Amino acid sequence: MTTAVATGSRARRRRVELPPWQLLGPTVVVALVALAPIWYLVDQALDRGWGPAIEEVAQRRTVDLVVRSTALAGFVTLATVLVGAAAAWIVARSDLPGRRVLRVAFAMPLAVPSYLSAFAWVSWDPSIAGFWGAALVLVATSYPYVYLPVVAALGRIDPAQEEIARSLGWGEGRIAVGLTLRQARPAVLAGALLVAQYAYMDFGAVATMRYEAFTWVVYGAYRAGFNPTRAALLSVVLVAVSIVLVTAEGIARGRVDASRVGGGAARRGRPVRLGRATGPAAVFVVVVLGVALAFPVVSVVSWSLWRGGEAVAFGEVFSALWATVGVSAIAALVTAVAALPVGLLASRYRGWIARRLEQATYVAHTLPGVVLAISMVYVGVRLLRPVYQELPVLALAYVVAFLPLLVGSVRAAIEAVPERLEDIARSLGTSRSGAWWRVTLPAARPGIAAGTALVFLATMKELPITLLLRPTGTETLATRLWGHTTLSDYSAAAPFALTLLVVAAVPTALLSGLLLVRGREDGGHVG
Amino acid sequence: MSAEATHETAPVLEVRGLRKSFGDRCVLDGVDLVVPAGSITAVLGPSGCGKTTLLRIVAGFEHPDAGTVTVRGVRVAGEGTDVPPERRRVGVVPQEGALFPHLDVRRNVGFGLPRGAASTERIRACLELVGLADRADARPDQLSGGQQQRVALARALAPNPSLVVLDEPFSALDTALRAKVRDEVVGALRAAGATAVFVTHDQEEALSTADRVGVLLNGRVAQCGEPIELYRAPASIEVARFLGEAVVLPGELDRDVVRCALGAVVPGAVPPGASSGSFLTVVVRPEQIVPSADGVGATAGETTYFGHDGLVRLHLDDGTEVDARWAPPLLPRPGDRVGVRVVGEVAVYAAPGPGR
Repeated sequence: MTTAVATGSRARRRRVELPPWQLLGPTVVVALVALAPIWYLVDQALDRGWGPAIEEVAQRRTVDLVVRSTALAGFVTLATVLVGAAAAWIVARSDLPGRRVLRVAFAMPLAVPSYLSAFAWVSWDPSIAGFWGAALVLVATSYPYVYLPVVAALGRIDPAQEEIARSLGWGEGRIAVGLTLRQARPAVLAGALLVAQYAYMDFGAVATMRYEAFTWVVYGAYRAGFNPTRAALLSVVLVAVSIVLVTAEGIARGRVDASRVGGGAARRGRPVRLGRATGPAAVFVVVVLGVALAFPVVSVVSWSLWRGGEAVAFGEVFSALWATVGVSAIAALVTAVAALPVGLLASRYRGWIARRLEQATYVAHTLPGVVLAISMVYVGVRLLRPVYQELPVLALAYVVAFLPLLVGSVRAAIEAVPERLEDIARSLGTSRSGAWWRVTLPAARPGIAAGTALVFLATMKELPITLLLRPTGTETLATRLWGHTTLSDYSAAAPFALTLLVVAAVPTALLSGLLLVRGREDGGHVG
Repeated sequence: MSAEATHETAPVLEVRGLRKSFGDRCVLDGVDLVVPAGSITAVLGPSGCGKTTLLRIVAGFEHPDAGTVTVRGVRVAGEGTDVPPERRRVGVVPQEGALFPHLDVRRNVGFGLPRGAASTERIRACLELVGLADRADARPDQLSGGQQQRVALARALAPNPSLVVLDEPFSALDTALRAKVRDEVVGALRAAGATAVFVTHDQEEALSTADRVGVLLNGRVAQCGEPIELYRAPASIEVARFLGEAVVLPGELDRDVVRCALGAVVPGAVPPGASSGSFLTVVVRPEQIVPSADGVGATAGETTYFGHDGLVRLHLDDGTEVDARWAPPLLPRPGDRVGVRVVGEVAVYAAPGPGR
């Protein structure tokens, strides 16, 4: 409309202002906590000085390792972007029948732990192990990280844009790819970054598929016990990769600079008619859900059937369930509390300090769970001796591990709330932090809640950190499952696997409901 | 005391020498604006003239580079003062309403009020003022654009602010709705006895709605006054052109009249220093040029028809082209011979230089 508005807001965004201490203080603390494991890592890696360290890294087998891991991560990222974006578009914009069910179904594979999916495939056909097996499992379990933010982003796009594009002679296909999905680019990018990190970090899939990627090799080096420096050095290389990813994301985001138009409730667009493309779209849906969801579930159920007359140890299952839910809930809540100041700072303040603090919380995510766990053992021994090998250290490790997941959600949710609303709140007599509490956070609540649920899920599925840091005597569903499956005792693993699936499926449905179905039946009022 | 007396008549808003640049782009370049109590003032300017920035500075969302803002006699910005928005008591109605999406209408309106029975009553009163008492339970996305705008006004009025500023409040609405919502909003503002400033790029809207209009051109208030005064006696040719169609002609002062291509016209005021024989610039409104059998001869050209009137291009016999606004029955056919003269006083300005 008026350029004065545009100029004003652009300049406002560019303004570098030191955030208030109420925000800066907690964020600095969170960033320091997130960076602590890296400090240990570098310390350990340089244990014998620079010379041996460089020698170790320059080895042929290390270079090969980088190539193998990167090939896997690259392939997985590309494939998840295609699968995730296509699934999101079908659900959000097409007229494929059953979209409302698909909306939730596409998010469900999030609840399937990668090691469970991998075991399902290997138990069916052991020859699938290797690159393609690992890639298949990683894509199947991680594409929701692209799908979810893109569905949310597509819901926010003004349908008038598509109508205008049609009036300018664009066809449906060109609009879907060239306009609709193009605008979801920040969301695709954020999701792709998460997937790339996930692919580098995942332990369960590559270990089960016997693909010599970083995490499996590091785990081996640590377990062998005689070369902790090599494990640390390899991890440092991984962190370097992570820094590259984070930097690339920063540049890309700066270029995209998501344009948000209007603050009111957007009209819902009419779905695009698929016509002859309905068949291929349906095949796509069946293949994706079949590979990612149906196959692992059917496998778990069939393991249960093989049990025959063996009695199920309900007591064991229940105590594992209790431990899993308790630990995960604590982890999710603590992570949410830690992510709020970081997300708020990152979305409301530009400039060097805000960027670095946010990036600090992201870097820790690319520490493989195994390495994070080892370094937390060290942190626990050094700094937190009274609570070492107790719940607080485990929870702290989860916070560090899952912070990026939640910071991303919180940031995106807050950015979707126009700053103008805070201005208005202030003109009505509310202080700046009051405006955050009364307007920004409540308006961003669905996104923040969804992110918290995401962390809850991730914690329930988490394996290596839990394995290494769980309080003595505590067994979660994941560790029980791991214990039995390592011994190829699929029938003993079955009740734990089933329970994990069922318990993880509920928050997934909740999450999908919050993110996707919200607003549909929104006829009620708040009294 | 005299202080008290001045307080009675003191302006609600006083802006002095306001400057603001974004990067190397100067948006406001010494803006002065005075808004009397109880008035509705329009800040009128073309797109990109800094209108919105001016409002944002008044509300406290931006800091001026120089200059001062005073609200009800209290300095709120400039010269080391920077009162945060929450303590300025300036209500804001932004473009498109910007209602809090997570709150229903009642809670939106009550946002700036303390909790309690008095507030409940105040919310009801404010919603009644904007005619939406029956929509208190609705959520923002259930309201039409005009309704959202009115709720935004009720929200701004609820804490009884010293001043309400409205940023292009009607530009997002379609024409039919626009006039209606405008009347409702202005009615509510007057019923509340509020002092208001709204910005707009629409001349008609500003002239028809506001008690006073400030024309913002090139980062300054070129002129501020009552609509009729502005239209009749624009402070400069630029203002004249911006406020409506203007026929700009060279002329020469001849005692009490100015001689130009349209004959002898009567100046509203003669620029200082001009004397008989001075070259001047004359600004005539198209509706001042009327048919007259014994007037200046002209040939009719193209006609642009608006319904209630039409604009006819006239080729005067001396070769000058002017536009005249006539009622439809009077409009000539292209090629017709007509005579015209100018009625009423015209605005004259010193000529830009010799040779014109």
